[in-house]
Amino acid sequence: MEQTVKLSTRKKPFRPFKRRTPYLFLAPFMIFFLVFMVYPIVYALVISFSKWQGGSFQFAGLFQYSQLFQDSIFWQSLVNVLIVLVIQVPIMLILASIFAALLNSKRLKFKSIFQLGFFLPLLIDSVAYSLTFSFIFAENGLVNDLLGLVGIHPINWLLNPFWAKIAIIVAITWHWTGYNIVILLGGLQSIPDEIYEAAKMDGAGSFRQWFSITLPMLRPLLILESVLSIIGTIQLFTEPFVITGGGPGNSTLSPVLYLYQVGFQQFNFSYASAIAYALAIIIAVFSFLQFRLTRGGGRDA
Amino acid sequence: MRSRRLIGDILLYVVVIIGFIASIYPVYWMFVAGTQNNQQIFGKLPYLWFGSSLLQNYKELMLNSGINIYQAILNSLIISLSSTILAVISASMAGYAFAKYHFKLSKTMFQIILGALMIPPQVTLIPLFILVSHLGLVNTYWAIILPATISIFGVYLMRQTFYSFPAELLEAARIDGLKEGGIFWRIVIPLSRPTLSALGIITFLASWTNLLWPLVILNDSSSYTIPVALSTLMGTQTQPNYGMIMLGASIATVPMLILFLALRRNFISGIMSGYNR
Repeated sequence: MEQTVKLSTRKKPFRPFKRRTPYLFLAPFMIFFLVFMVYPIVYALVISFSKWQGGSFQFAGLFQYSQLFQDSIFWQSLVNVLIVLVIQVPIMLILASIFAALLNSKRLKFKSIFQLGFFLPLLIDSVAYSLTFSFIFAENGLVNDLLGLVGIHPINWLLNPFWAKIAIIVAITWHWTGYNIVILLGGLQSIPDEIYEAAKMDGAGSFRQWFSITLPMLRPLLILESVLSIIGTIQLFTEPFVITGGGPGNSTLSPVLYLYQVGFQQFNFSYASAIAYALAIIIAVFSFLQFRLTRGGGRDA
Repeated sequence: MRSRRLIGDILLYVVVIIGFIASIYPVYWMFVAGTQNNQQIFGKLPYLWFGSSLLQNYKELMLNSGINIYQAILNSLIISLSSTILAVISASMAGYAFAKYHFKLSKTMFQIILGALMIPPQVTLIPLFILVSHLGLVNTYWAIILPATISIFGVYLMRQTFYSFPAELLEAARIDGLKEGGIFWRIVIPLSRPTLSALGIITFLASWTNLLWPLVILNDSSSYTIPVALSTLMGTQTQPNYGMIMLGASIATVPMLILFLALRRNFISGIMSGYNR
């Protein structure tokens, strides 16, 4: 990248362009950006420091944030997504790296058909697949019938605080594993064959090769995937909205679903904006950790 | 040695096939359940083959569901296509400015734009709702299209792409007397088609599956996008017809499947583009 930067800066344009040219190129994006992004971001901050009184927003300092700090429902929604991501992200990434390695195997035939199958969940709209999973996990639905075959009593998935989270974890994992497989397959194809051949000469079996070559080579991608998955899970909305409605008893309520309820069912805009900014801070912390983590990964690699 | 290899091969196929079935079965079930009635859907293991209620489910979907699924597909297509085109054009123009021109504050501006990427989209939800209501755009296509035209990732991606665009080519075009705009539209854009289509695909996917913002700003069923329309299906009846809901979900899935089959390569490269940093 650095080389190309130098290339483009070293050679000055043959005929200097008009001064306004770059601004004309920037204008369409910047207008949308300022009106529909910068202004809302600033306005949300202003609202979050205010209170709706007598038909207008009145400055209220940290009132909303101190409310939020004491709001057990908000904390519960945070804990809910933390539980989901602590279980879901590792399972998904382990599954993705196993299947990516298998799909990349030279001994596997019909690769493109298999890859197509693993890719399919990604093409199903979030609401459509959430509806499907809410029926599959119904009390007399598919999952319980299958469990019945091996003699396990039916589980009331969506009405039990613990199993409802599991149902959501299964649904998210189903939807996103294929996406991560695609990314990892791209990474695998960039590992030179010679490394594997050398390992084979040294007598390393498939599992050994996977642990000692594949996994370390995929590490940067896996870190990036885990961070994006964590950020995505913190912003969870569609699955709990459709599958459980946040229930039972707020056990699958996510912060964004809570924001939606506060903002557009109770129409408390100030409080909803405070929730949004709290979420932004949490996500910023995770992004910062990612930055540190990837820097650390670069050092010892 | 040979038998060990055989066992390994069998294991490989068994694991891959299990994952394959787990991936496609829920989709298959969705289509199958669209042809069944409630007794068939929740009976004992009837999940393998098509039922007998397709026509009845379809009739109910058309007449009693409270939504028009084809209108929703049309709305989604118009909204996603328009916002994708606008996003790709504006992002590539901005990316080009940052990559190929030197101007005042260019670094600062780029950093501010990238900084906004750190803010989760939910932050803008309430102010956008107020803004769009004031503009009188509730229940219109524009309400969804306008905010979706901002692709910060697109600006970043196109800037990276245009950096490596050969400066010699631009200079040659200038010598030939082409204006800056002409260079961009006639030379740079046509030669960057692979990246543009990758960006187009991910922008389209994001717009197609977006639920929260359309849910907030659309309250008239004729303006619903697919995700919003589907999300209302559960609530419309006291005794839901699950087959009808799955039929609606199946019909809504078809356009994306067709699009994928037509543009398979671009899909993959679109998804990968986010990771090649």
